[in-house]
Amino acid sequence: MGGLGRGNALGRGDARRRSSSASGRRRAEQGSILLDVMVAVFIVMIGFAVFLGGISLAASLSARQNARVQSMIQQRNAHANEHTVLFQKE
Amino acid sequence: MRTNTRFFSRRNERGSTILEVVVALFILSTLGIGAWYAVGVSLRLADRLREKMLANVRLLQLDDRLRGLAGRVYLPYWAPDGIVQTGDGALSVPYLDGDPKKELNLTFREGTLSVSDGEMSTHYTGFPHVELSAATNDSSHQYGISVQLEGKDGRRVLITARFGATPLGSLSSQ
Repeated sequence: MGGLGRGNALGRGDARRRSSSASGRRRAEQGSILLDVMVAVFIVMIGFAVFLGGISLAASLSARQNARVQSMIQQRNAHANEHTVLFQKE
Repeated sequence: MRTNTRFFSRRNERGSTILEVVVALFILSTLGIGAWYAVGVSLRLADRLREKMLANVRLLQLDDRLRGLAGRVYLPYWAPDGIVQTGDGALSVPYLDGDPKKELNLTFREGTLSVSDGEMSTHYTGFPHVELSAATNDSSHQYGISVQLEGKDGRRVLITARFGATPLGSLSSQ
């Protein structure tokens, strides 16, 4: 009897251990899904930030180039106005 | 009880698998739509940036060409006042290289600005509106040429190029 009882007790313990390990696995699986989702969202956010950064960098570069060309031409115009070669008619 | 638990656990596993697939599809489709949109915007932006850079390069080339040619105009002291002829989208200045027969010509027709020294003609596009005139000082004395350009983006640029040498003209009579 005692042996049987011990066997039963062991069997219950085994079943508990099995069920707890199965639920743990399920939890781990669920955790891994959440982790995957979070990693995906994180990657998307990084991509979005890089994309926005690229756009703003391109826009600022373009604006800076425009301003530089404009100032270069204005400088040449000013030089042309100030340094006109004039000579007196006889 | 065991069979029930197994049944439910299997059902749960099947349900979670479908959920996983749905979530994965949702994430993938979101990422795909975002990537598609980003690629479209990036391509458009790259095109616009390329066009702007080309327009700037073209503008600087035109500036160099105009100033180079105008610098080759040497007006003699006997040259009459108001030597720059303008009208009908064209501008001409004689005495290129000091020769009265050689002319600096600028014409703007059908969106194309042509700059010519009689030997070589250069054409510039990308300017919807161009005004050609003589550059004058406070005493209405012509000392160069003035080209007002308007780009496709509405940007206005004024290029004033002086002649290589200019007699004082009307100033001398004062």
